[in-house]
Amino acid sequence: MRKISVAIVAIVAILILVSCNSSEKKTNTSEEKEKTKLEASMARGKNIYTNFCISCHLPNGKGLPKVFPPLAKSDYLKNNRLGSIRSIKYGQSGEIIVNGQTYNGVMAPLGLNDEEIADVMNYITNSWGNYNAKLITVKEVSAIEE
Amino acid sequence: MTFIRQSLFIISLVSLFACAQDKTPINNDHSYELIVSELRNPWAFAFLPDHSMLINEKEGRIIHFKNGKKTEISDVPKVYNRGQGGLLDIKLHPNYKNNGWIYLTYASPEGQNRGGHTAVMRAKLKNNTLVEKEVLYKATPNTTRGQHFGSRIVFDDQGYLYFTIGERGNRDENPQDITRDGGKVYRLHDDGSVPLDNPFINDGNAKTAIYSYGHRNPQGMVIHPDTRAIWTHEHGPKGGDEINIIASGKNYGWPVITYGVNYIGTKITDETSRPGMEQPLHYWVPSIAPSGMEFISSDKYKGWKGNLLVGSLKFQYLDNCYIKDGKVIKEERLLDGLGRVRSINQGPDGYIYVGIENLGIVKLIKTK
Repeated sequence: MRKISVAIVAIVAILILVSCNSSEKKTNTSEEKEKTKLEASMARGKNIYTNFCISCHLPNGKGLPKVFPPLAKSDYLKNNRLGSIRSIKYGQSGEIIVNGQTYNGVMAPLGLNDEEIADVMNYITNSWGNYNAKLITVKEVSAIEE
Repeated sequence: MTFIRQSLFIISLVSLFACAQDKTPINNDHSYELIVSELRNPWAFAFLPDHSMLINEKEGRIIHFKNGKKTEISDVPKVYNRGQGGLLDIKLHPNYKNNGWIYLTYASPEGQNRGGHTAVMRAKLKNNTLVEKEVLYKATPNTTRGQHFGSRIVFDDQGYLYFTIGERGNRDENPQDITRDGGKVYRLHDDGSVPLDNPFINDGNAKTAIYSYGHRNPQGMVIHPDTRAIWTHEHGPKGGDEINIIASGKNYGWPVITYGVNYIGTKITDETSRPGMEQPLHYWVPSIAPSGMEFISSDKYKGWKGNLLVGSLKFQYLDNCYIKDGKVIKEERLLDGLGRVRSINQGPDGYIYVGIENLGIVKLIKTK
């Protein structure tokens, strides 16, 4: 318990640091534009997450052991970018292995549009210690077929 | 520093609740038989006079199940299949044999605003097609939020039609405001007209179909077999799922009073009671995420007659509630771990049938 708290305090501290950094306006490089895009997308994505995902995957992204797979520090999410988008878009069923644990539940398609899927993906792949360097775009989501 | 302290506090609260376990003991004196297989989300089902079944699949399909064969019903209304929305409850009119009316609730995209809100329709079944469709109620305004559509339907002995609509993820505006839809139990005549003795019939801009308010998301409603009172249950936030007995014009308190907290563990309110607001008959902490509700009134389950059955989506069991003097005195897990329990009905044969997500409909059998 104490370890977790310490870790989380550290994360929070890092977040504060990071957010302090981002408020320092530097030159408007394309990298910064991407970052602003990401932040805007993540903000919308957080809203989608609160609306559609939170009751199973929980506010901390940890899910429920053996029932709802974790998103936080999930190797599946990290290594299966397209598969994860497909799951949100068309639903997920069948066995998957997340962080060494087998899950065999079903997630029904949520009825989100492509922009909402991109936003929520940007949020979950950049929260709870997750990091995704490459912005997920509507175009990328649209291209994914069932 | 304060921020960190606050975060720490919130985090410890979250961990506290994350540790909260459902302690309901498992009952092993029963088994089940799979009656209808291969259903995705049997949100509701109803028995026709010939004992065949009409089954609502959330995604917007109605299946007629007869003699082991599934037939798809056509001309089902277009549903807003998003988040918790889709095709919801199905009920036959008490006088179905003579008038043929079938009642449905569903998340409907109908209307001017983007999004959807809960609607009630009645229709008849002819050659596997829904005909004479009439929308009796459509809540407004539409919203793209994915939560809290309700919905369950019951008829009382006087023939009044009751249905529930959840607060659509807008707890600050909807449940306590009787001029707005959502977070309510509604009452209509079977043709959709508003009864003149509804509680808010003379109340300015009120939605006159409202019968009670201050609800969050009721997905269970049933008439008590003896007292004939209307019992509902509803999803609380994190903790604070409730059973209530519904009475005309009453306020059930959400979100002013609740036994739950926000999903992230922060407080919604300090208050669990207030004068003029109803207390639940029972509440669950942690939340079981209740859906489906039925009393056992047959003699098929020795020792369980009069028990209330409630489905748990979250912990995937059928909650067998023993009731005494208007209180839940004992709970047991039936069908433990079989899947997310969505719908429950006592069939015409007196057996309990249970709709389970990604499985189908099973018949509950008592073995001792």
